[in-house]
Amino acid sequence: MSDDESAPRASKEVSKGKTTKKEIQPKTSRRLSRGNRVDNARSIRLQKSAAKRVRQDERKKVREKLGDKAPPKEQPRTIESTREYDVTMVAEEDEEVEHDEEHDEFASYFHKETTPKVLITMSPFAKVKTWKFCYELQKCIPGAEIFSRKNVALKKVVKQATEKEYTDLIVVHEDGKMPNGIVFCHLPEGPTAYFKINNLTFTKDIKKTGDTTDHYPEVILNNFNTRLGHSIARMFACLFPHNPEFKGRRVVTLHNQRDYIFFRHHRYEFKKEGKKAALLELGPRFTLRLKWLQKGTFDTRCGEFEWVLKRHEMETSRRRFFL
Amino acid sequence: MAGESLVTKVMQAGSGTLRGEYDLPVGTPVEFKTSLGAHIQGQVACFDPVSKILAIKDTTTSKPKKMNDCYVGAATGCLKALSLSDNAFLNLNNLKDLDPKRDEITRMVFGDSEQNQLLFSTSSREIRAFDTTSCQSSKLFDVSNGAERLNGLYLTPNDQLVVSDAAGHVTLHDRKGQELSAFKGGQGLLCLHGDGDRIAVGGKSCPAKVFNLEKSDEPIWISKNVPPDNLAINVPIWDMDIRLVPDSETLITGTGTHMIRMYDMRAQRRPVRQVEWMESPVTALSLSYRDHQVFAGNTIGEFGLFDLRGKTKIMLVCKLKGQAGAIRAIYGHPTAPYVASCGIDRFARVHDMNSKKLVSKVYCKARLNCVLLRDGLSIMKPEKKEEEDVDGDWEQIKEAKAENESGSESDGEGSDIWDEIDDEDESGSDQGDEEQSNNENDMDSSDSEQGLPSPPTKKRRVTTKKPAEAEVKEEMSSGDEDDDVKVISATKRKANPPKPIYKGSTKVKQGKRK
Repeated sequence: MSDDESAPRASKEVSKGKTTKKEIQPKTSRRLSRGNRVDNARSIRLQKSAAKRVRQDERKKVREKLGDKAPPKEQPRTIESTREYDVTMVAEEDEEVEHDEEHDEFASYFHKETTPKVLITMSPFAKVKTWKFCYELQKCIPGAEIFSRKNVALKKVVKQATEKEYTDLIVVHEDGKMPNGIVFCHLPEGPTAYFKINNLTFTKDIKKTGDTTDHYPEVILNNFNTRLGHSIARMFACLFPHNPEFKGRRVVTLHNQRDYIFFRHHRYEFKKEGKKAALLELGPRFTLRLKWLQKGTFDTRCGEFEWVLKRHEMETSRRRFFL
Repeated sequence: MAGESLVTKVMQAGSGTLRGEYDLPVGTPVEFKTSLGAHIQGQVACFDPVSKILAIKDTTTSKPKKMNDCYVGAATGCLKALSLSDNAFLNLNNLKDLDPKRDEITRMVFGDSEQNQLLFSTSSREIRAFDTTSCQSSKLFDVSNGAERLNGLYLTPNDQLVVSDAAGHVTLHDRKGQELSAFKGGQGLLCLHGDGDRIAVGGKSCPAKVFNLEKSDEPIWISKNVPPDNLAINVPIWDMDIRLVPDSETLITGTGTHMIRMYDMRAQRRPVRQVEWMESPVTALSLSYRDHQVFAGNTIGEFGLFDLRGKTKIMLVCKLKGQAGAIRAIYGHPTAPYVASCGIDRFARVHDMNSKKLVSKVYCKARLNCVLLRDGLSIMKPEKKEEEDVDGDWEQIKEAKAENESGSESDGEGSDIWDEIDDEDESGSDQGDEEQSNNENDMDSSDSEQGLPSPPTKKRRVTTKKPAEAEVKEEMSSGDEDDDVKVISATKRKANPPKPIYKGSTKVKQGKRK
């Protein structure tokens, strides 16, 4: 028995010795220099990509061999493609949703009865970056007007804006001298939505930007599929004029991915006889996340909320999305 | 017969042999095969040619599947019947004719004791009736005086309607619309609730009042505003929903200043108990099947169960979770531990009061204003369901229910847990000891569990499982002794989990009492 036991023990010791030696090497390298670490990372990355290429080639060979009988290409399993089933997903030609949307607060815009008139304002005594952000928004939304808030209560602003027949109100909130939130209020009957701003990049900080023209932009609203998403998308659509001027080749994109709404502003150019498009970013670049949607105009104390993000109750699964 | 005439089978017309354009008037005999192979024969009860949803009054199958556990009224004017077991809904009126500005359903009540008729008020100040047996809607009358929105509807026991509006007109009508008497509710009225021949109203800057319908139009009781706050600022009067507790002098209001107040009309005009709940206006209240508990919902979609028996304030028992947006209406089932809620997040939800879990939620595609639950629900305990299925006649069900309630010990329904616990509490400590000793004795005889005072729901589960386990045990024991021990331990493991929960709850209760 003792002989049998001793043999594996010895082997273990040997292996331990090896591992300790191996462990020492990276420690020393970590101590040595940053360059070594970078080299290590690069070699790992190269190894991984090489392995991936090998796998791809194998699959390609199999596909060529089998021809038509080949298994269909697999879709990558991302968090978004495996999202939880949502009953409120709007199907095409859903009679009832159409009826609901035909009579909602945005219906007058979509029936072309009203033209958008947008007012942009900010927190009281806003600092320079918030003003800058407002100017950037003004650049994207044709015909928007900026007014200084001057410590006027937001409910009063809503009242005055309604009297002056504005159709939308945008209030940029700031914290720590940086814009951190946006309140969108559709006038005169609401609804109101509050978004958090993430990852804001000003035009100045983007490499290779172009100058914005005065043409009315095209608007792309991407991936707003649930009932809540529809409402939000319709709200964004109401900010922009009805007839885009295609001559300007200007496009504003609001792309929803995993409940984060990516705002981008581009000029496009067709190349190779319309087979390819080149994009030139005009800026700004930021991401929005919906926090709540309220029925009626801004009234956080007494208003009725249509949807509130309750983080501990709703965000229990990373595959559940609401927009 | 009432049960037979219920809307019974609902299916997508596209899935069966029914395809293309059809015009099916109510009452046409139809016969077809579904995609699942079931043969359906019956009469058309309701057909929506656009969404291709067909409801058939089934004349062949003996076990009808009901599509009407719950009714909701939407802000678009849609009246919907929900099936809680299927999580599906059916539109009862034609969607194309509806204009939300005219047809929005503001309040809804049952129109008769069989719950086959619905009465609802619309934003154009009409009172309409809907018969769920024939699926036909009819206008009863217009409420003529004034232009404000109707926000209260109550059907008295002698079949008269009380209607109120935001301008404070509270009027008593008969079914043909003739005004019998009028009461001054007060400007800014928001809510109305009735019980027997009493009605209570409340509103913004309109103190809560209670009227007796048979006496003159002077209120029999008026509330008095609470004293100014610690900064000597007047607290606004703002009752958003009001409830009269039946057979008592208690009145409960939920206010826009996020308070839930309880008044005792015999004692004083100011609230006897109150509680501040969160920071959003309390928009909806409802009574439950227990006299001392009420539900409340607010504008950010929080939904709580409150106990009125606290010494100085109303206690929050639990929150019922799942809502995403403001709650517009709550309906606590009068005899079973279920509660339905709906709101502008477009979902109708049903919670179980005992387990505090969401039982069913139905996406209704429109903002909902009011909700009603029928007495018999498809999600109720299986024993009851069988009774219903044998014969759908409501009277029989009611009789059966009455019997069940009288012999509550044999009744396996979970609703009586607390009552039983209360009973047992008096001799609670002794029984707790017994239970422990039983636990220890479990190794010897698993049958001794039957004598345990475990909660009824758990008891039933154990008894249903036991025969199978006992059989297994016998078979195994005939084979080997070692196996026998294992089996006993397995049964013990299965039977044990309910006990600690029960023991814990009794302990808590005892602690409170001390």
